[in-house]
Amino acid sequence: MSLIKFFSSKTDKALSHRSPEIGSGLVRIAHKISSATGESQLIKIGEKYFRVRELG
Amino acid sequence: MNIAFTTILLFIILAPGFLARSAYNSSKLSVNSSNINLVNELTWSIIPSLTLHTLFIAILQNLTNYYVDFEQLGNLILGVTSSNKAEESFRQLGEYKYAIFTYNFSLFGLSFILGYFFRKFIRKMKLDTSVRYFRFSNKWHYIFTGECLDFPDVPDHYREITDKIINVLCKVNGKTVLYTGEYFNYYVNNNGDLEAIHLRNPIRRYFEKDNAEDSDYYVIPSRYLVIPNTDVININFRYFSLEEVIEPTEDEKHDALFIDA
Repeated sequence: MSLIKFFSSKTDKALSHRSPEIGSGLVRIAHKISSATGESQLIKIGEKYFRVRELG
Repeated sequence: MNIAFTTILLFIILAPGFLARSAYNSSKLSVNSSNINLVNELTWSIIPSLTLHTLFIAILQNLTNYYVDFEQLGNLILGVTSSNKAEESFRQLGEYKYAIFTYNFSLFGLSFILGYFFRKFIRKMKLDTSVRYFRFSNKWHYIFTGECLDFPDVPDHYREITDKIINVLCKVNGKTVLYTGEYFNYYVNNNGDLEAIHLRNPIRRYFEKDNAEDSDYYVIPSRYLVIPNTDVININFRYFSLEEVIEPTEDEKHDALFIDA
């Protein structure tokens, strides 16, 4: 059973289910997020605050 | 001995490796070109085939009363006709036809399953991102999904990604337009070339307005947008790690970038 689970389980992803408004908001704010620094920045989408960091 | 018969026999012998490779390369991770060179494919199947045959013959000879008669097999492959050896080989072939069929059918099935699970194993252990030799042929997969972050010497990790934002620069009616959206999907053709990009929550602006304000962006009234590769000039990938902050400090709130949802 565990062997089947080993092969069948999906890869870990940090993506959590959330409202489409957050994704849409991130698309519209993405150009303001600096790529030059690896430090995280605080963004506000709607009424919620998020800490965002560009990876890579 | 008929050359066609020897060829068929060699095809059957190499089939396990061919099937294992087919199963291994049957996912979106591999480019399955329609211009497959059969000779090349069979050449690459030699080592997997010999390995699978050796494994299966060992199981067969240890667990059953059957064994593979290599002398007869050699006679059939080499087309030995002296001393009625060919007739003797074909007589034995007829005598054990069900056993031979069962052996090959089982081996073919097992080879396909092993190829499939070997791919799963490589993916599960992330060997394709850490070891270049195991990397699959569809390079776009690693770029679009962000798994390229797990390549050696690249900072950060794929598991940290929560959002992927893609900027696609396009030529539309003589004007250069920058489309931005969340990654949703991508499509490649049989040669592994990018065919189209599928974005979610798309927006666009004209490229001339490089220091664009929010008002320069047009929110496309659609949840999804497909951009064919023929219009694409270049693509910019941004991988983000997004984490909700419940109670930011007043200073943080003051410095926050904001947009109305």
